[in-house]
Amino acid sequence: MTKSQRVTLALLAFSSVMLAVAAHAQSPLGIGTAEPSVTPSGFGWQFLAFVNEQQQAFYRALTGALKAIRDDQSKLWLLIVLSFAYGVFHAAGPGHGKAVISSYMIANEVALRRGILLSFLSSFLQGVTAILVVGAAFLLLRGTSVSMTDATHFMELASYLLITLFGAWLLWRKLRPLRAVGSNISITHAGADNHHHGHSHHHHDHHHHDGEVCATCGHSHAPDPAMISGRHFSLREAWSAVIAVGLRPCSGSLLVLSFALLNGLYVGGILSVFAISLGTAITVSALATMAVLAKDLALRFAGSGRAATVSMAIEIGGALLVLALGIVLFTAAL
Amino acid sequence: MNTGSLSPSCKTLIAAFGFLAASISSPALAHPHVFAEARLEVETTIDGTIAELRNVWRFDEVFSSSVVIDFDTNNNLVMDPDELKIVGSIVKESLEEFGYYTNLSGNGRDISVLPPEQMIADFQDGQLLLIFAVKPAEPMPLTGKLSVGVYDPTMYAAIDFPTDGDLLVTGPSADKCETNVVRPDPDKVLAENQASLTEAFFNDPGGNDISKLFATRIEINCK
Repeated sequence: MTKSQRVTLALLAFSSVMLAVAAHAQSPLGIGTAEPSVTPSGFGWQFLAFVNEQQQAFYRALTGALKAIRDDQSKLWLLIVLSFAYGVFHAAGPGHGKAVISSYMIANEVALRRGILLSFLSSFLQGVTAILVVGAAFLLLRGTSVSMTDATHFMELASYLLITLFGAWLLWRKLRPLRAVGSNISITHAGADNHHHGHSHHHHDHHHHDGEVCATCGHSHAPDPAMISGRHFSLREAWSAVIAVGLRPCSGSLLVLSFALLNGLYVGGILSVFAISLGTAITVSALATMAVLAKDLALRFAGSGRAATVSMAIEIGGALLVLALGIVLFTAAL
Repeated sequence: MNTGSLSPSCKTLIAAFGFLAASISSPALAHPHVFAEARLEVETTIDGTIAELRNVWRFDEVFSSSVVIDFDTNNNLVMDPDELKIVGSIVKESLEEFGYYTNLSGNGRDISVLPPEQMIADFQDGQLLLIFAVKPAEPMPLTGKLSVGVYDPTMYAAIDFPTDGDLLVTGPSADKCETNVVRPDPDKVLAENQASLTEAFFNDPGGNDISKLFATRIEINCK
């Protein structure tokens, strides 16, 4: 096995281990909507325990402020501040949004500024979805056999299905150039590969397409990373990511809005939800930025010789992560 | 694969993915959006056994309002008896899988509980109330060390006992034993069980076994 294959294999194995997870998606009480929580091994749980404590505290304070403005509208600013803080910590905990956006950014050469834009768009779409779901449940669905929980569940399934499709599509796009090159490093059967791939006996197997520069011939069978990474920012692709993430409203927003509607706190409820979205967007942007910086760091460590392979492996890993996350969440939510 | 031979770049890479994976996930630490103030009565029989565990859960107004939106089928913004009946039966059925959030042990042995005959749902002051009693699956004489805690292993709902007086032993044999309410400090539990917790996450990703470490419980010490 060549070095590049070993790295790729390690990465594939690693991504699948990290995603060998259990996910709870349904409410154990049978009433209300549960936030999907993905539960893998204990990596980094101490930090997450801290985040968890913070978001719990802020959620409690937030619901307290919500009750307070029922009697005293001047407390509105407090509700907005607490909603924002809740959003910041909420997004640092487990959730699908940051994972999809970060993985997507890792899998693509998306400029940081655009990645941040994606984070904001998807977070605000989540807020809009929450308002639409609760609004529809209150105005249209009450009295029908479709409940708010049903509507949320439907949005959730749609979101996870889209994430799965999005991941599959990303992966397919990453793997396509590998096959096109006709290289004998085949990701699809890397795991079952027992026969030895020589380094330099297969030169005659390469098909050089127009515009391809085989800079690595004779050294590595990895294709030029420029062909794999979508250097052109695709608007359609970006919207797919935003919609896939934004379709699933967060439970906190749904609950806040339900209470706000029943108590006639329309302005407070909507402002609170958008403050949560703003907080969420900031954290998701930060995490996505960190993911991209980590990737750059890995590439720098890899040195110029192996950067192409490592970059390819990271991007395939990112696409795999999106795909696996979609599958795990979708099957758990069914 | 010999991981010892991985190059530094590969290790960095793995660290980066580890971080990403960690950011999407946590060991059963989804934070609750549902809060309930609870009261637990451990009812005893005249011949010195535990008769049943009586629970009252009063849910927070915010969660309760989402229940109204979901179950107010006749659109009058009030939870009517027939609507509450549906809520009760759904919760009764759903919680069976989670042992009615009850951690019951007798002299170090875990004992399961039987489903309640009835799960009564009520609505007062904008708050959903659930009232039910569960019986131990086997006779539990009041001897040695017994313990009862109530906790949601999935962290969907936070069951809080506002005061120590909200966990108590009642009934004819209540005086036979001494009681002590224990409220584990989560930080301490995490620190003391770090190694075993990490292992527990691998063996039991749902975290059902570790939840009882965090549960507020009443310890009952009998002669």
